[in-house]
Amino acid sequence: MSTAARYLPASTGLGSDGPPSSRDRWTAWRRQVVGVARMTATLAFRQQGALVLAERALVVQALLGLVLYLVNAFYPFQGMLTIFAAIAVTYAIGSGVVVFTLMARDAVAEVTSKSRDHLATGPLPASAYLMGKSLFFVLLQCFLLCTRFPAFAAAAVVSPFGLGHVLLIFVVMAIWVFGTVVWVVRQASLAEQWPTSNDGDDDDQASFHRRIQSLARQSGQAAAQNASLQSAVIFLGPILAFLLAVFTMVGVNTHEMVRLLMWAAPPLAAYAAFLPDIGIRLLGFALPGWAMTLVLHVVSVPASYYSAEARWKAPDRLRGLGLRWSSALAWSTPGVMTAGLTSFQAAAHGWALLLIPILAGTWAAAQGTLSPVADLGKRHLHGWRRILGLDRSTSWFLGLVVVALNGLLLARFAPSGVTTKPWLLAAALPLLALPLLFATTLGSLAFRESVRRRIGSLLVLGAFLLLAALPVIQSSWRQVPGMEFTRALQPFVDTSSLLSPITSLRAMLAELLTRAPSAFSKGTVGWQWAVPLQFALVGLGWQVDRWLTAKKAEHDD
Amino acid sequence: MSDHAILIEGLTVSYGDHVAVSELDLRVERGQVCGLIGPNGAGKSTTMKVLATLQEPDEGRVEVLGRNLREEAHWVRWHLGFMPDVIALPEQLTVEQYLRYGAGIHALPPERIESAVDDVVALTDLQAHREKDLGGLSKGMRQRLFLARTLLPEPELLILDEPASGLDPRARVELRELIRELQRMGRTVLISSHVLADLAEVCDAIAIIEAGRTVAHGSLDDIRARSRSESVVRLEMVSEPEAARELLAAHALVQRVDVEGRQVFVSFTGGREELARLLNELARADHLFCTVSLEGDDLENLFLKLTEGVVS
Repeated sequence: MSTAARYLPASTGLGSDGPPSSRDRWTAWRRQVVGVARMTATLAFRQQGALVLAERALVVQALLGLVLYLVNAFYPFQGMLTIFAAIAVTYAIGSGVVVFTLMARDAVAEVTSKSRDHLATGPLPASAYLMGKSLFFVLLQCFLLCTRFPAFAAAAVVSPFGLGHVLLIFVVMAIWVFGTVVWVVRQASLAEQWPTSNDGDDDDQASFHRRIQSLARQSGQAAAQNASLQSAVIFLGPILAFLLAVFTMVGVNTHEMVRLLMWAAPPLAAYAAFLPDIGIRLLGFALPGWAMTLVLHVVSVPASYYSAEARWKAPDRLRGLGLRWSSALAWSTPGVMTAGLTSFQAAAHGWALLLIPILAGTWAAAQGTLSPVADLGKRHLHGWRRILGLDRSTSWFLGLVVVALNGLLLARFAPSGVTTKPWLLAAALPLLALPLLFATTLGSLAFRESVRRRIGSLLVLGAFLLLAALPVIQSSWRQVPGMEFTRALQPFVDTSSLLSPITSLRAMLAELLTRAPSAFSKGTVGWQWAVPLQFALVGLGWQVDRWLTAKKAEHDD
Repeated sequence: MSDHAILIEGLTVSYGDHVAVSELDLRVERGQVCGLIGPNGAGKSTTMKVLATLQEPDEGRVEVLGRNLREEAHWVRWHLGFMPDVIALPEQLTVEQYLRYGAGIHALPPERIESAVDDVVALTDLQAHREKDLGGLSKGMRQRLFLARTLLPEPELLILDEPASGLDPRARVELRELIRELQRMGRTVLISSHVLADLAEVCDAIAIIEAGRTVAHGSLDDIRARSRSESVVRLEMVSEPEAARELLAAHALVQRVDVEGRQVFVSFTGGREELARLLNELARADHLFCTVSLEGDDLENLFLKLTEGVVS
């Protein structure tokens, strides 16, 4: 049979003369998808290094949490184990899925970017791969959202108009997903234009450079647009709900605009029912998250620019990795916020909010200057430093200020869910960061890259384990004078009733919401001490960094 | 079924104001190995990208394996194999994994994947590297691996963009052998390269393009004849050299005859067939010679003669 007669090549064993049947097309498509999926999975699981270790730890943690959660559902544990299971499973699954999503996305991105030309030569065009990638990405996002559904569901359970609440969140999330799709499609169209080499056919060297830079800028702009959209959605969604709740409460819903927005009345009522507590909670837990998200998104714009540029220069490593951590942080923040809404995990997530950036920074620093992530960080740090006219030490100082501010915000607004002495927490955070900074800077001086990677892995792993163990640590704090155990969680630690998870969740939330306002009023303790203390610590960190920098310069000389 | 595997008429491709290919013509017969040569910026890669359906043509008619590229790009994509000039491989995979992935991309049936991978691994001599990570492969092996991946669906038409670029001499020899093998298997190959000696050895036809246009196209002899390219034939005479001079000088395609000792240098403008006739005539007239060698009629000289280094 001549090849000219049949649509699908004989090698596929499908079809014959003339157009293929829909069944043959489907079979061919399925084989292709399986091929790509298998490769993606192979790539994802064969990637070496610290990140994979951390990712695997998360996956294991998630699985353990899931087992605990399921066991608890049928044979409920008492007290602390219930809380541990709930916190571990929610956090670990959320984080695990986030990281796994990123890992898989990067694997796909790697495949599509690196193989763009030759994939395109196969029966599946590059655009199909990129569209497939976007679909994959969106599906994973949906999956991600689903893992957060228990939190939404919990909100719905305790809300008299729960369904509306859930719907609102889903509308917000749908816009978010839409933004992502727009971004991915835009990336796909840009990727199509991406020159693979200066083979001399297209243009001269200078022109080639201009094209690369132009595409890199467009890519950065697309990422910025996406970041803006996501930030807007993440930031404005809850704010909108909050405002609507306020409007509902104070009766200004006669305003035309508000009335237009009042289609979302059920969630407003849900919020209103718990105001001011939930609003305070939103501010206390979500605001640092939002701030961090915005900062990360702002940072990720130059990062994406450089990663786009780097894709041309070193396509095998930087693409995907560049935004991995900043994306992970940005992505985990809404999850933290959502968890904040259900509140019972507030303590753990309050810590997570601060630990994750610190860990990410630590991991990046531990990679040393040879690491693409550190290199990328350095590149965009240089970019920002040029823009702001800052020297290296000042940049570090500002970085620490951001961390400290986050801690302060948490301390300022946190109810007693973490500790009754929030200034301790505020002070402890930079203290936590400092040894890590010491360790990593010294590590970069003393150890080879491979050793640094291991140190980074251990730090990340250790910190995640610390996160998981936090409730246990908290429970032991009960015994320490002055470190009163979380009031809000108290009733459930000693509970002897065997509650189903949902009932437990609902009761926990209701109890928390009732008690939190009074706890919040105590949250300002230590505010006046926390600021000078933090600045002193940051200043100390700055000095230490300067000293280490000088030492490193001597060492390098 | 049409005789041509590739038919391009009046192909024009522009990138904004920049015209990369301008009214280019090309015809490659089925089973032929055709070399596409030209200076940097001549439009070779653009032409190949058009054929590989990676670049939309602005104007002109393009047929691949008898199908109109504009109307049936997807069909073409299924039926050709393309090896781009820049190859990026996922370094964490092994050779075997990568080829299996390629088999999936080309929708090979699961039960055929094993044998198909075995076949291409054997053809490209990659057996010893089957379990190696791609990150550890040399450039030559990467080229071979990619070619193996391209060959998995047994495409009738192969488009190879600079496959010999950056290869060491041994790898180039191996690549030439591979292309000859493909030729024996009846595949049509369009290949571009800057290593003209390699192309001259493996190609049935050559297309020289410059500034986006076809400057010359056909077999090397045809091009030589059409370009009136002068080659120097060196004859080591057994009989008296001076005696042969008169006969040689009288031939229409001979421009000049020089004698040095027993060697006769003939400036000849014809193709190989005409040269064979001339030598036959010489022998029949009892002007005996023991050695014949051609100088100055190689592809490089032709290329230099026909092109001026103009970039489109």
